Amino acid sequence: MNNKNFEIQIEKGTPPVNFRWHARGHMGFENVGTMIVSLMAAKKIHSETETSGDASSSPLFGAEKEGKPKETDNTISYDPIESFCKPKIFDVKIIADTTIEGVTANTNEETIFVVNAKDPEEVARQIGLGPSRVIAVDATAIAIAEMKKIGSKATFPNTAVMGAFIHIFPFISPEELYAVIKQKYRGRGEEVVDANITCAKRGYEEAKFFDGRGTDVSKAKIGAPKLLRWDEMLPGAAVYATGNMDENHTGSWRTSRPIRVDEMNAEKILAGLKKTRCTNCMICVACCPEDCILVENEKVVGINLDYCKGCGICNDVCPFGAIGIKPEEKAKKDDKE
Amino acid sequence: MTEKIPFKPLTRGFAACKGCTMTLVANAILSGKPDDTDVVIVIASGCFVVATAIFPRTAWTIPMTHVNFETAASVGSGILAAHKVLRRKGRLPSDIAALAAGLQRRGLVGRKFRVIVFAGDGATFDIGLGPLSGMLERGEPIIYICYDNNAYSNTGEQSSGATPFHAVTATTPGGMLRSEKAGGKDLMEFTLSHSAVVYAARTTLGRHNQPNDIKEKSAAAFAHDTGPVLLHIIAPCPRGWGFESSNAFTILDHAIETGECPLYHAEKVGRGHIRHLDYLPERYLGGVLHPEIHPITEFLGKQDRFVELLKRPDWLADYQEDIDYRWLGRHGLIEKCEPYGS
Amino acid sequence: MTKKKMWQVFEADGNTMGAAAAAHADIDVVSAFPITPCTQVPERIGDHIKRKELDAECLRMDGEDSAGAACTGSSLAGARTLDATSSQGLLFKAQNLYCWAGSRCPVVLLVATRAINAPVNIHDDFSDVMSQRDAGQLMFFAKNQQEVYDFALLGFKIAEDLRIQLPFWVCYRGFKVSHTTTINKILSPDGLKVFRPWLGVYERPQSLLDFEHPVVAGEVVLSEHYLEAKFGQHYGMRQAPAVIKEAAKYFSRRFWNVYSDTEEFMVDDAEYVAVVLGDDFGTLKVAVRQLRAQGVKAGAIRIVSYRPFPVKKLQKLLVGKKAVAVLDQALSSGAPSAPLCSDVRAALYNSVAKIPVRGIVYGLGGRNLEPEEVVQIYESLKHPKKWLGETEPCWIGVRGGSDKI
Repeated sequence: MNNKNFEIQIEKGTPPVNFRWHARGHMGFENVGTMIVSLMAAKKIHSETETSGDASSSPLFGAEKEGKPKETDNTISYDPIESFCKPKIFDVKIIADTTIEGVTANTNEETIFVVNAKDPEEVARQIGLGPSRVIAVDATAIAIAEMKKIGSKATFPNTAVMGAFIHIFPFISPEELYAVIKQKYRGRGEEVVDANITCAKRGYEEAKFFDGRGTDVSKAKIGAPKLLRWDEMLPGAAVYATGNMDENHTGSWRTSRPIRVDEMNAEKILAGLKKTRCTNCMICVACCPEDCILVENEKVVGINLDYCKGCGICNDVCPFGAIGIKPEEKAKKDDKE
Repeated sequence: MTEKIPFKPLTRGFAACKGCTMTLVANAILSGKPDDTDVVIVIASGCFVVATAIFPRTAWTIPMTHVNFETAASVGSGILAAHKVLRRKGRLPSDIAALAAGLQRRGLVGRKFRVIVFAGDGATFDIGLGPLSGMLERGEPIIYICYDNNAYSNTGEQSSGATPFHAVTATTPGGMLRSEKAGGKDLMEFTLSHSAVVYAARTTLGRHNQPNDIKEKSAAAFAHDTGPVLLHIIAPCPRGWGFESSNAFTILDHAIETGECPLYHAEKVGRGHIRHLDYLPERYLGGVLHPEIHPITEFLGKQDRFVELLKRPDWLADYQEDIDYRWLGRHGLIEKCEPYGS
Repeated sequence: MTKKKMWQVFEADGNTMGAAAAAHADIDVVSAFPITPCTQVPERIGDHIKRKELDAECLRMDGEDSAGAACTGSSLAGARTLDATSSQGLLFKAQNLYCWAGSRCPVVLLVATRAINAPVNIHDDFSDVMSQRDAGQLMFFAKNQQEVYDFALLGFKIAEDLRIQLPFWVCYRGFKVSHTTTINKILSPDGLKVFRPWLGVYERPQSLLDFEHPVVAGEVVLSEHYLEAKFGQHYGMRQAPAVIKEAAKYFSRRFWNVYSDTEEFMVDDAEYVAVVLGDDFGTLKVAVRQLRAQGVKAGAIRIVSYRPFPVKKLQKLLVGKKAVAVLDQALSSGAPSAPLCSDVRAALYNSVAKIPVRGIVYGLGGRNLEPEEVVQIYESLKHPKKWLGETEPCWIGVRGGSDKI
């Protein structure tokens, strides 16, 4: 597919372009918004014309907790930006982690999605992006490969995703992106800078495109809590203590899943030992912050996947090594099989 | 025989970071609540309230209030006073309901009542120290839980009065001391300087030698109901301390063994307070320093916030000496506590 | 029963009258921290408790911020709560003033109004209450010791009404009212027998102490619902005028007359009117009488209910007047008008034909307002062209000051 279909022009008189980054903590996306602003600021310095671009970046605060989805909003524009209100519809949405929920909120069929995934059509169907344009790049794999070359275990997909992202804006050149990456990582040493620039380059070159407009790709439903009228609320916004936070299935935050060791690496358990290492000592039950280790008849029988955040404490405290950790994406795949 | 269902007023689904120990602390404390006691929870602004109370959802199934940052103890005083006077005047809603319900619920009239305050180290050591002191001095039978993660976590890990020396936080970027002469603050001793306090303890979660330390102290907190109770509980924060979310218990083990987190309690006896050690790290066995056993590096080395400290031998020595002095120095733990095991 | 038996004579100053009201309203909790000039309020309440005229918990708090928070806690727990403060104490408590309104706590706050540091001054001024006038509470200004008692009593009735559920402030000037003893009326034992059933007890609909129906009070409310929560709070203020009117009407009928929105003196046929808060209304009356004797048609208005502001009443009172002066004992440096004048001008702007309104700042830190100065102000109202160009209030009484009345 010609990627000209995926371009948004930034010219004098065109409205500002709004995009939102969806990521989790520890994926390197904390500063992506300000990097975009720096990129546009550099343009201003280098250009001879009076106005050659403005940008804004605003992080979203709520309960700022690690693992909980983080969002950053960016606006870029040729003319000066005058409003900091949230747009109702975003022109672009960048999804760094396909397990994040609610990413199709505030979008329409013209919204372009940039996704950290192998194949754009597959991911569009898998997470329900609707009949839209999707750019996919396997950013995590690129990051792991490039960082391994310099002996680092880092897996941050941010720079590769940014490389794919700039396909949308001919106004931004890859060199400008590399310059801002260099600027951001200069404190970490040349190796790290170069590795990140390579990630961005590969992200740009290996991006795949899928124009789903007019196709039958369905859009995922978003379960937002009902918004109350003022007279439906108790005075002082008090609530009855019903514990209704259990509607919040924090299991969706999970990027790694605890697995009973007898399911995993079974061939490594020496013959003669019991099939499972678990002795039902209940230490994991006592130490689980979400209290989501399931017990029946005084035996540990499983994990409550609705709430397990994948912190791994159970894996750490088990004296018998009976709990292992599997990456969530793999676990989800294995579930399907 | 039906087992007593442990009191667990918090549902799942709260928005704490993965691996956060704060809710484990809260659940451990609340599990010690006797059946004959009603409680109201007061939480100071911070991680705990943000994780459990975002409109229109709440993780709580018992009364809770959050008013502001520094005055959690004062709000508790107000609630307690209201309970006292409303009971006296026959206007306590629960007493009225119980009476109206007749014979079966007779046991519910005049039930015991405690206010439990949860406040972080920021809300306790710094901005809330005055109100806390007022509450302790007034002698109100409030249980005050300071869950200490050594920083202002909810706002992004700024240093608080409880931040250890040379730890990197958002406001001590290179691990720089707040001032060259910065010292620590001892919340337990501050608390025990108030004569009305009936029970105070340092405790933490652990699967180590004292796995039930926190549960025992929670039971003691509820049992001591004639005056103020304070529990100072270390609650490691994966995000703030810089460790893998799975490691909290390993780090706590090290905290206890290196002497960083002493486990001790004090009770009011007569006019004063008697302190008891609940665990004696091997490093201080016999009241003597065994320098090669469990040096503080075992605790410091696992956390990114001490990266700067570990680069500087002088800071490291300073830190180790301070810990050792806390135990073995003049008026240190060994000296002021009853002999261990007695 | 004739009205006379409802009351008894009581010589007392403003603070003592406030304390008497607390006792007669059978408060449950008083939270106290000393600051001049309101300190005697909790002290006298303590006396009432000692003499078994009142059963209440007296919270000896460690600071005004703590005192305010304790009031929030006790009100959330369903107790009828009273607090008293001034100046620095009010500012220190400011967080909780907003909490009371936002969490719908009908706390009655007695304020012996005082100037704010710096410089330090313990005398009367309205700067303290004006600084927090937007915190969401009802505010009544008393002109004498009697009204401190009356408004505090009524305050509980009004604030606790389920249609309102907002805090209620009774503001009265420090020393001039708080510490000056006069001859007043308070409810007699017979009067209390009628009053107390009418007042009722405080029954908070969602109380922290209702273990059968546990509530969480003070959740974090994000942008999706905060606007609605505030509207709900504000709706209580919208309902306030009707509730105030009902309560004042009943009280006036059964006991003695109370004002509920404004008080006027010779305003009907006046051409020139001055507006003020509190006891300086008396000074205005002296000046008005003097001017009337000279043939000048002067009149005076006192705003009683400052929040909710009596917009329609004021518009009605000032129709056809030639010019108005508003006297503020508070300032808003850099603004076109001081607080009270701001509200008067705003109330008039879209309604009556443009009446010239002049703003005056006077008396900060307890400086007396002299009848002669007031006469001069009225005289100046005859010549609006001379002051219409003023872009800010005229300061009177400043030695060496350049503002001309």
